Amino acid sequence: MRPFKAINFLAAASVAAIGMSASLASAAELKIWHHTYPPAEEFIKQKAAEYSKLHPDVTFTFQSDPHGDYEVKLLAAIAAGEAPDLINVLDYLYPKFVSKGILAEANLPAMGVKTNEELEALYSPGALKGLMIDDKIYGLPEELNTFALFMNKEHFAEVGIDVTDKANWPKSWDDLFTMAKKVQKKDESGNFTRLGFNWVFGLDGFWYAMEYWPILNQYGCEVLDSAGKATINSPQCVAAFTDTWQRLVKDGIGGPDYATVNPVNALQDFSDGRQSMMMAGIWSPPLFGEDVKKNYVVAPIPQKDPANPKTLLYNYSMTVTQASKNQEEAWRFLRFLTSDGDGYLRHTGYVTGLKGWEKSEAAKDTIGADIFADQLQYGTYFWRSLTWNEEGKAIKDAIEQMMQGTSVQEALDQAAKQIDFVRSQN
Amino acid sequence: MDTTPAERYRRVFQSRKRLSLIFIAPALLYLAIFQLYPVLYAVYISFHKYDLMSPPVFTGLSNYIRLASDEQFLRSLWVTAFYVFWTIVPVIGLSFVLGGLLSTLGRSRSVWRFLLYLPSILPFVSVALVWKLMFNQRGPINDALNTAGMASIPWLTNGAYAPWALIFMSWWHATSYYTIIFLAGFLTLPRDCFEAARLDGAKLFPMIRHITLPLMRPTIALVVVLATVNGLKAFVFQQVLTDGGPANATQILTILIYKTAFSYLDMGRASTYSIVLFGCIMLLSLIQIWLISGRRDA
Repeated sequence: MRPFKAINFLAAASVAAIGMSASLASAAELKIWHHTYPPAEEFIKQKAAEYSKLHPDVTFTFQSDPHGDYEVKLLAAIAAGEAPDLINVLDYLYPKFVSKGILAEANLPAMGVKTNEELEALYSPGALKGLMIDDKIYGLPEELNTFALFMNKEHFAEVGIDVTDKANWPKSWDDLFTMAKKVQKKDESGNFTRLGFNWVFGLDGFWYAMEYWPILNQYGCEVLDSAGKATINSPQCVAAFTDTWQRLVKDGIGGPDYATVNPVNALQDFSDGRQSMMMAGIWSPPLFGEDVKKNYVVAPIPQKDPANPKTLLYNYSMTVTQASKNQEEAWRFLRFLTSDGDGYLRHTGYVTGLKGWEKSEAAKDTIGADIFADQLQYGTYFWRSLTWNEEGKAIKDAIEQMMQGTSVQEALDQAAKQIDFVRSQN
Repeated sequence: MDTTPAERYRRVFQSRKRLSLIFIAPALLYLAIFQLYPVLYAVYISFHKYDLMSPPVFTGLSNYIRLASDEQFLRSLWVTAFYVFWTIVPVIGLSFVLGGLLSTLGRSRSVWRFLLYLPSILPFVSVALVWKLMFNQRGPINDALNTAGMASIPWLTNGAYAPWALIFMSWWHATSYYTIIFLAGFLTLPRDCFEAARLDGAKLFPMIRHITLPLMRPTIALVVVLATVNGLKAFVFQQVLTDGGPANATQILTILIYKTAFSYLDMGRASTYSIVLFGCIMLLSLIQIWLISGRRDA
């Protein structure tokens, strides 16, 4: 009797072990890394919980870091073999990440489509373009964006300008700086108590690029020529920076000395009501203080040639890493997450770029959604390069030099030299 | 089977030698794995192109040859030299004076010693964050300047002021540490020399010049070397306060190494910078030790 019992026990234990290992094999833990933006963090966690309810074998861990640190930590983790499954990547990094084998090609069946065309048809025209290399899709848009001009209507009302009236919006850069001077305030010692306008300072090269890229486009300035040589010091580029960045300081409107540097909220001065105008994305209102939330209007950014508008287009996407052991599940979740365009816009201010987003209920409730939808048509992506970070840093350095009195030409000559040096190393 | 004293001595010596080797083996192993291996690996990588994602590709001396035309590197080298010089010279002078003054105190010495040492035991990042707030455009330092009728200074956003902001902050932080080392040196000085000099009618400054300074030379040598090495290795303050900006005005070599390695994924170039920094530290330390200690012995 005793041997029989022992055999039974062993058999039962084996079945249990096999069952357990089978359930362990189907269980997936998806690690998500995202740049710090609290509204997005909350929304993704909420969607992850919903997904786990539908698929109890899938669990999630979430990590976020401020934009500047995020990329460094992400690359270090990938290099150390600790790559997360789902990552948040800016479109300009796609050439570099794909060339290094970091990103996995989109798993179309997992997302319920058969072809790239079928997937592209779900999105606004061009929305996936920034996430494609050699006609292969490597990610989905989480934040398809452009920049618009945010204005504090209460500040302008104080100086007799009604910015709720489109006729009073600045059409050119000259209009913008003139309005900035009218609305700015100083105390008796000459210190600013309110800035009319300011560029973003003290952050990483990407932040600077989001502000100068529309202007470079408007002025016909190219960072690189078709042969890959730096042309950031061309007459067009010099004019672009002279009329905008240098003018800001020359006219005593703003500059790095007056900007609050906060990597988690780059728009701190506008958000707190210390600045009357700023350039930012549709995602920015959730970061505003309560007073500012009730008092802002959105206008298109000024243009050099209003008949031929040009601006920025960028895509802070979500994608799956090549190193992920759960790629199929990760793509499935990604489709689930990003298909809730309304939820994204309502909770985070992000436009996922799904076709018809501008007609959704969430868009109707979003101030300026029509402006952003219109501006997206004129947007172009940043220049593509494997060494974008170093090139962006060289231009950032040039801007910081201009702000301290170096001539625009000299600063851009140095940037061009640095860009050529960096590119010659690769 | 009696052994000769020479054989007995040899046997004891050999067993002691073996025993001592066993005792120092863990430390040697630690040094080899965590100190020597990374240094040798950095030397190896400096001859390669390596992005952490794919295997290193041998490029010979090209990383070293490019240094001469690498403006970022040359600028960083200058920024580092400027920072180290203006940090260590005043800090050594100030620490020496404070250490000397502390050594003359009686019962209150331990209280002052504790207060002075406090900055050294605080975490670097916390210290840097506090100073970042202090140097803010609307921070307490500018508030004080405004109260005194002076204009605000863009401490961290202007390339003319940012290096000095970091230097001032480093004075505050480093002085506390080196003061304690100097104090220990002062407390070991033989009192009879000073008493004899006083009996002979020696004045304060001649006594400092002819007695204190020569006797303190080993401590000074130690502090000079430590301060130079720590200055060259500085990272956290620059990283937290300015991230090397504005326009690279505070981009010391360690910041450039970090960015080149982890932002640009160019481990070969970053290793080359590291080897140059390592060489600078080694060379400067040897020269300083020779100048302050070696030459005296000669």
